[in-house]
Amino acid sequence: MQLLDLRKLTMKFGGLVAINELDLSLENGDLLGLIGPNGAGKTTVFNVITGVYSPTSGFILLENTDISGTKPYKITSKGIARTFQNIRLFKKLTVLDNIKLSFHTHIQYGIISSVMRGRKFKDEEKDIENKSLELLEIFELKDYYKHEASALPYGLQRRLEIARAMATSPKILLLDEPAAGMNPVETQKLQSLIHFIKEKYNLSILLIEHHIKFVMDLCNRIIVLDFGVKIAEGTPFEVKNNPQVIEAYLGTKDARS
Amino acid sequence: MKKNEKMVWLAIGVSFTILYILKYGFQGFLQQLVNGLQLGSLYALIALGYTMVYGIIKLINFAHGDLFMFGAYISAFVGAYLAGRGLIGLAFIPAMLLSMIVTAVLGMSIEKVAYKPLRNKPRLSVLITALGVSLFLENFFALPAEKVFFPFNKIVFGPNMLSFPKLIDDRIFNFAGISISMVKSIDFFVAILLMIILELIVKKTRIGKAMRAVSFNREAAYLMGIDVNFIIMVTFGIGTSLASAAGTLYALTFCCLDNPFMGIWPGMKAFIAAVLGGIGNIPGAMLGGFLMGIIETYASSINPQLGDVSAFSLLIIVLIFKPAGLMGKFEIEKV
Amino acid sequence: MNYFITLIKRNWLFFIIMTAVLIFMNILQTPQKSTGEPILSEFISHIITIALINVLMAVSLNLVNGFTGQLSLGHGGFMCIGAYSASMITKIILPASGNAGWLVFILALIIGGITSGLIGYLIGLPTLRLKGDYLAIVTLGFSEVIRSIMVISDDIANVLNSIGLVSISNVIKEIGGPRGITGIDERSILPVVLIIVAIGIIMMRNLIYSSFGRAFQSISEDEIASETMGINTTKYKTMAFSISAFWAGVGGGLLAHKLLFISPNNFTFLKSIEYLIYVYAGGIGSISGSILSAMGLTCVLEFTRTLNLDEWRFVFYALLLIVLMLKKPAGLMGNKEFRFMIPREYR
Repeated sequence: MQLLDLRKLTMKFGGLVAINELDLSLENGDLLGLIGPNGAGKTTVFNVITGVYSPTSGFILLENTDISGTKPYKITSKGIARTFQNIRLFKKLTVLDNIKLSFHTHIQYGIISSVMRGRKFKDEEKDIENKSLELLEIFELKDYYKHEASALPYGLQRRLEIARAMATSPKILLLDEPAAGMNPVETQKLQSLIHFIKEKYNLSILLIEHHIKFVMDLCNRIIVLDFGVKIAEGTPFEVKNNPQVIEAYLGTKDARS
Repeated sequence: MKKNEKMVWLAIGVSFTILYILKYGFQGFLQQLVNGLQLGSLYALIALGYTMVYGIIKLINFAHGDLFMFGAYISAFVGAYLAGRGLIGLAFIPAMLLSMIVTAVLGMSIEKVAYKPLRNKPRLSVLITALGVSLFLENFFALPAEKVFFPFNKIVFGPNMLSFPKLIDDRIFNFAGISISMVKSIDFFVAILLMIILELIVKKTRIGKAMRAVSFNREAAYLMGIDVNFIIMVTFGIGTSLASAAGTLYALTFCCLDNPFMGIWPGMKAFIAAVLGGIGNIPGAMLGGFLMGIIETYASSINPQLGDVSAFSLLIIVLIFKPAGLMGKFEIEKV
Repeated sequence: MNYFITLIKRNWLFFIIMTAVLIFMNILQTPQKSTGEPILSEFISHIITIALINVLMAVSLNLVNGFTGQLSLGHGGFMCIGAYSASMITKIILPASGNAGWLVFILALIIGGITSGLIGYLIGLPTLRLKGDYLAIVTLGFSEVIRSIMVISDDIANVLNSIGLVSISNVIKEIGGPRGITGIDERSILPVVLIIVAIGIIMMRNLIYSSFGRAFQSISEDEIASETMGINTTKYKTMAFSISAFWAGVGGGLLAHKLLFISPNNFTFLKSIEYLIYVYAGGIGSISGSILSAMGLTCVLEFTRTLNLDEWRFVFYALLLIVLMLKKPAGLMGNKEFRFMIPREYR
């Protein structure tokens, strides 16, 4: 079944066409890679899907209902979560609070209950805390739960971002360059972590990454973007040998000679 | 703004104008327009300083209104000295120039002492410092001289009203039933002249180019070899000297300086004018200043109390419909 | 009723401490046999009362400016609404209420708070989408508009009178235009103010240490990330704004019943600036900081009144502020709290 389906999606900023009539579909259980040179419009695709920008034209179908132009927080509650290319953690909050915040959509207690510290409030807060610690355990961040998020090393911040996205209990996870700035060991670890959470939580993942080996190893399907246009789609093997892709990355023979 | 939205605003404006003309007559309308232009030119001058400082270091310089006050006082002292020697008429020009220089020096020293150390700190702490500087200037200069020990008793202005020397013999011209006072037209033309000079500095000189570069991207400007600290200081200097010129013109028109707290309201309104036009935008500040002066004049001719309300209401309405001001650009936040 | 019993059960420590403080204060305020003067002189208790009201104002402003990260400059305006509505109610109803006076006073405070909160909501809805400095100037504008409406209330009353709405016109006449309202009953005595301010601080603290508080803080950290994590940022900004306005309204009501005379001049934008200074000097995002700085700065300002330095007071005050910001740009406490201010389960 198609979980997420972009149809003829176009996003323009003034005169600049960031995405041009993009068709993209994410099936249940997919791990779809989105690659392309700098400025190809990959992050813009994420921004449009998550509602940060509303598309100039085209549709975004989530389980066959159009969600284009919906507010980001509503899209999150429909089950799409994301991470950011340039880490956007809540820096001054603790690691634990960063995770706890993402449980906000599931909270039942009201404002009166939180002011009066009722039983319902205490039970639910305890529950959230346990769930958050559980998540931190999975992401091997539990030892740091009292630290400010900004105090974590870079690699851990990237992992915390994924953990925070997972706390909204998504069906679809959008990862924007999760391996950027990581060393080979960390990258290897991240790869198995992504596999693990995908199986455990039955996720479908859309992934942007410049680290080609990482993408080739991890994804079952890859889409290549260049100047906002889809130039190739297929299995990692197909994409690797596609002449158009090679051209986009390395330039044409004529230009080089 | 969409086209039909523009039409709606135009229609509202026109209908207000017609109602005003019906009630006060066409002459009354023109008369208030003239008064509004004069007041607006002063607001525009002050607003320019706000907008330049904001454009370059993203700081609302709350002390700006007090530098306006300082400029007015300095020119009053110089003016009194000159008038005492029988120099009147054009004598207001040296008084104005001298006060512009002195105020610019004060403005630049404030920048150096209070704002520069906080340049890379959270923006709001500079804002609070600016509030502190404003409070300090007002209250320090309002100290009565006999209560202050030696070196300072020569500097303070005291809390009482000071009358501004009559440097210009005011004459009133009648022109098609509208009375235009000479002082007010001098205000207007001097203000316009200063704005043209500023425009030339910003657009044509090397310093102006550097100012634009720093306000566009400070880091990049620094890497290109621009002395950012110097440029910021010059911007402060120019901005404060414009405020001081406005202070002189204000004093010239109203003939007296209430007390060192007199800068608060003109400063406030000029700031609103700067926001109205799109803060950080130089033509926007001029437009905002004139608009503000004109609308305030009309409103207070209906009921004196309406003047302040109208200023703020105008701002709120504009910002709700154009969140970046009339001429400001609304930037899409990059994610 | 059951609810109140559980409330008391759960907060027994608070109630015991409060009772002890009240008894202690009562002792301090009764005249001593030897001198005939109370230990806590009228003057000192007046200062403490004002300082406590300022604490409430600073903490509530911190909710918006510090925790939610929205620069509001209009706190004085909300205080104005609360002060006027509360004192209008006590002025009209109190003389006829007999023994129920205190109840009427508390009700008036709450109504003042709610009015102010409602107006805060209405103002917040369209304006909170503005960013940073623009929001600041619009909130400042609103507070000035509110003040100006009080100033021209006489004219409004006359207009209403002329079109036949005599009863409404008479009520509006009570606002008194630029003269303000005089002869307000003195109800904000120190113990009462202490209890109300303590309740206010505890309620706001509880809110901050809840999922709603985390939502507020996430907005101040990174609005886009917050929205992507499922937070309806507009809703929570408006919520923080209205709650802050509510407590500002209560603070206004308290102030009116302490000063016994209010006029639009009590609520100029300098008032808003004053609270802003408390918040930033104490540290944005720190309740303890707001309490400390509001208490400290008010006391400094009020006690220097007794020295023969009247004109110099504000000069020192301004210098203190500048030096404080230069030496400690994040405020006295930064975003740290005293340990006892943090609820047990979050320490």
